Amino acid sequence: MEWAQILFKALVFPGVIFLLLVIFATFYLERKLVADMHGRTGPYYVGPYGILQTVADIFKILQKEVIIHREADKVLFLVVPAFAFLMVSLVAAFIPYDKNLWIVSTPYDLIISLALLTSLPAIFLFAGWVSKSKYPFIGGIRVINQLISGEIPLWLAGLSVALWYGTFNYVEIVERFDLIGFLVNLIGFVIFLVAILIVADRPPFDIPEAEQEIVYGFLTEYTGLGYLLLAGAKFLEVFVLAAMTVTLFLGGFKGPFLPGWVWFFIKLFFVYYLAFAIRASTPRIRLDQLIKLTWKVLVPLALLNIVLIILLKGF
Amino acid sequence: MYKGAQIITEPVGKEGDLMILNWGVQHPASGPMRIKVWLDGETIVKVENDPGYVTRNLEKLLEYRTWESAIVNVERICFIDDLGTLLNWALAVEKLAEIEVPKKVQYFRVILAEVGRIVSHLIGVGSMFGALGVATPMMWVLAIREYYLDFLEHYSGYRISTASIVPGGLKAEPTKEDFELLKKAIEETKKRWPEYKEVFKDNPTLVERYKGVGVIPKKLVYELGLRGPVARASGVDYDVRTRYPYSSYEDFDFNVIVKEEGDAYARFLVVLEEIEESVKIIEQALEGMPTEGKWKVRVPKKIKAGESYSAVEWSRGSMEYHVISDGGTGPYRVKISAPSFMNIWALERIAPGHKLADLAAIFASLYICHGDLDR
Amino acid sequence: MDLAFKILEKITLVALRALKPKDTEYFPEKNPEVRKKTERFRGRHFINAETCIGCYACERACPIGAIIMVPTGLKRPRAMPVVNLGRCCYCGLCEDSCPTKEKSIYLTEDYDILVKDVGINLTPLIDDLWAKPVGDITKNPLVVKDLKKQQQKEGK
Repeated sequence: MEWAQILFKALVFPGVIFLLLVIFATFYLERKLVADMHGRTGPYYVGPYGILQTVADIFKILQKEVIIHREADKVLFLVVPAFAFLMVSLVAAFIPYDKNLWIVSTPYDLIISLALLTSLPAIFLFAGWVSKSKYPFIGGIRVINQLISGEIPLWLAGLSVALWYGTFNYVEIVERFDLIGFLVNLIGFVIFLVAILIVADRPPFDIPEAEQEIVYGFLTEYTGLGYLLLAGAKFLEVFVLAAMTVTLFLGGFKGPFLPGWVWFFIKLFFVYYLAFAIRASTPRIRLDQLIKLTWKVLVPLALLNIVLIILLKGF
Repeated sequence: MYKGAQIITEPVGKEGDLMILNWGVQHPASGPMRIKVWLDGETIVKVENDPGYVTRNLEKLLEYRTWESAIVNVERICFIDDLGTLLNWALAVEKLAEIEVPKKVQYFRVILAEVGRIVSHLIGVGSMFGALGVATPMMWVLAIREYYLDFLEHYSGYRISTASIVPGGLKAEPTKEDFELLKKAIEETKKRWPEYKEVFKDNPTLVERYKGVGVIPKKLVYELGLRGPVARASGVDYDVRTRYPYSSYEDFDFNVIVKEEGDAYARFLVVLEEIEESVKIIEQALEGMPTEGKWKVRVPKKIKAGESYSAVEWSRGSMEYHVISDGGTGPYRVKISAPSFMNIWALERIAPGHKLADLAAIFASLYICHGDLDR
Repeated sequence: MDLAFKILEKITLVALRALKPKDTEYFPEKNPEVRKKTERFRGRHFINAETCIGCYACERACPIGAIIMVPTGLKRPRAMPVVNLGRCCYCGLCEDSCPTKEKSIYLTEDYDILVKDVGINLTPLIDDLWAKPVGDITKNPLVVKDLKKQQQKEGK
């Protein structure tokens, strides 16, 4: 019954419905955990402990009218968000939740994921361009700024892991994970954490969607279903990158008593909490300061990390 | 030249190579005011202010009121700190009618004015962070502010727009529970303030964003007539409370905070440290409060003809009134000189040369109140 | 390098705030009394028909013109105030200017003016935006005195 198994995996778990649940869950968790740090309650009334608040919000967004700018190209305007969602879902197919719980597993997992992720800034620039309005245009150009500063440390830190373990396949990397592997890759872990915040437009690097300066960046003109797909693509990008961090640096589904996927979600929650705590406490930095930070600090550190791993692997 | 008063029939587009952006009325961080920005890539080339969206014609409305019922209009000049404006009106009318209020009324007025200053500076600090995308300082600060608003609500009935200081004294007598609530507010501030300062005062990213940005040199302060924390952060030592004391401020012992650099970080520090000085003043006033005298002195219904001028150090600068009376039951003409209106014209001189991302930071650090800008 | 440690320190301090008690309270199901009404709160007007003497002081004191004196038809009190609740700015100057010992017009602590909000059911409180005099005007001391004088004149 290979057909049924593949259909189940593609549509339900780790497939489309699971990804939609991930969007609901991360949106809810972000509001609740950041509210704890603010000293307030967060969503409370809709459902027990406010769990259904995101459901209410998303169904409200689906009812809104889709407004297209007078001079914008109508077909492209509606196609671009769907395309962004599609590209991110492709990357989500490679994540291993347990030893046998994955959709695709090839000998070149890591490189394919990184290559697919590098296509997203171009789609966001196109989303800003096609809106034919000034604020989205500025937001789209700023995404290129994120691209030239954040992608290179991401690649270098990610590939250094493959260098140490000797393979690109995710499941094998997790199988070969042990304490020495964790300690050796520590510098790469820190660089990768900073790099996923830059690539996914999370605070303090959320320059393309800076609400106080350019109203909402490249998402300004999108309403209704288009906004949902584009913002959903951004949420999924964070999920995919966090899952990659857990798989490469924290040992994926390995752990003592509980089943594998429980450990995976616990480690994922830890990475998410770190991202939320950084969001609640650090102001946004400026464009040129970001480029200075990555090219003067992160890239040399990543290159030194590769040299160190090559030396250590020699012993 | 101020060109903002035309009716625009076609959308603002571009001018040659530069892009014109409406950092406009419908924007998350600009408040109800429009700023026209000429951009070259990401660098600002020229900035033009366009205020006037919150005008309520308060100066004209005051001509139809009596001396006591004018507090309804005067307290609505700014919706966050209305106690300083009420105090100034009471001082101006008392100068015209040549009456003296007892000492304990003056001490309580000082307490109310400093509570107004604390309440306004707390929101100012929160919004200077809010312009950079972090919401946490605003939430923490609003929790401290609630205790002061509890005191104001118990004393006067409302949290903002209190209508509590009238010419001749106070509208209502303070009771024992009012003083209890005030002491609780000060105690909570002292408990939470060190933690707040530790996390946010020398936050590295804030320092990176604010240091060296939006520098106002000392010459510009004298040329444009800037006031308040903006002037004190550029090295000009002027505070109406020490220079021309009013309402027995000379009895209290406090520092005037002056910094030298003149950039946005200095303005942030001035606002932050003035909160501690205000807490000191309130404690001294609570201890040394006299007990004899009445709370309200009778003001005649018709005041003889004359003019008077009075100035108060309000939270955003020195607020000044020029009141003219012609012997009737109300003022003949009132001219209000608002500090935010003077400070906004510094934006046109210091913004060019910075990046677009700095415009939000400079605008927040100039500490503008929009109700006070347009009156 | 010390910059990175400083940022980490700030992040941990903010994250530790999550363990302390919260500043907000649940309202109104868990504790409906948490919204304390203070005595001096300036809410809806209460005009007492049993003590008003019809001196027109409140109409003169109102800065906005929200009080109108409506004639009663009797000799004393000649007119009684009604307040336009939409125009009133709730400043309390009318209450200050009333000369009777127990004020005939004062602002209560009630902030439900148009409807009373109880969950989903909204109960309308008044039909139009006017606050009218409340009470039995025949118990007014002035009316009682005039009635007695008239009865004495007729009795003679």
